Amino acid sequence: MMGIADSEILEKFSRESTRNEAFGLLIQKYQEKIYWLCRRMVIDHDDADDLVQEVFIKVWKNLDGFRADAQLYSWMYRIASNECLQFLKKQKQRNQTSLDDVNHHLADQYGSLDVLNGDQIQAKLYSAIATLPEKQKLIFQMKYFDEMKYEEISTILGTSVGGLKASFHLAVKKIEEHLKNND
Amino acid sequence: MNSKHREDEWQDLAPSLAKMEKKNPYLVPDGYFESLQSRIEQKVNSAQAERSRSKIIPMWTKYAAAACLTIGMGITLYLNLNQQKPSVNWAEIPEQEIVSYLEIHLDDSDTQLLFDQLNTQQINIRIENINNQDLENYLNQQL
Repeated sequence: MMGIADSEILEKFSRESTRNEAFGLLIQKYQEKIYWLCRRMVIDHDDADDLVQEVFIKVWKNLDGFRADAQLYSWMYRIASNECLQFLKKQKQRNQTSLDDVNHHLADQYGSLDVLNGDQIQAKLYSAIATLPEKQKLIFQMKYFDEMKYEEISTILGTSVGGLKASFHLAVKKIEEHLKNND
Repeated sequence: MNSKHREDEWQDLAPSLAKMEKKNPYLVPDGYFESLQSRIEQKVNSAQAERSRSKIIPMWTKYAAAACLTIGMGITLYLNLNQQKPSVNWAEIPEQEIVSYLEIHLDDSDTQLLFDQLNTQQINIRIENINNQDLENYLNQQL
């Protein structure tokens, strides 16, 4: 990840002459983080690839209206989270199945280990994560993998800190249970 | 919160999870992130081109809509101006209907206006014709 400050990117983006350069810097800085958020949510690489491109197109279209006092990363994370949730919702509608079924289908994908690098223990963890409800899954990922503060997650998802804590503890308990039962 | 504290918290909350190494188990095609930026930029450029193309159409539609609106307003105005106003023959309206209408729609300012329009003699005649009881009833209701 490059060390360029968000404020500098925004400043460059505000000028027509350096707008493209600024957007390039923005992609370089955040593409991996956004990709991994999407990938962990939808699992399939091609789906995650489509989503990450959609997220950056939305960022391009709306960056003009971005308030400089807000956190750029939180704002992008919010766009990515919404895109992922919408994608999973559409997938559910397309397949005429419940989100639980989609989650279990995602969880089953780990059984084959095709998408993972052959690590059984990790496969078990990701299989457990996949069974969580969508929003709980997002909260768990932001807290566990990205080690974000509840306050940051609260800004991104628009949920109270208390609600996030409760949701996260519930998610952890479910995962722990899943890991114990599949030992 | 320091990392030791965080580890302890994880240990208490989810011991199996705490034991696990936090690593990324997903496979990504070789060179994916190197090419991602240019693919995103390509998509943004084509989205922009699409946007510019679509901007041309609204300009046409704006003018067309403005023309339609002007024509529509013109026709409406023309028809309204040429429409004959309904002629009213006041003499044919029964007195009772006028009284009923005034009872419903008349307010204090209208009453004042009517008084202003009447000459003093007419008022005198009317007052003379009103008996005391009716006058008292009126004052009881209105004051």
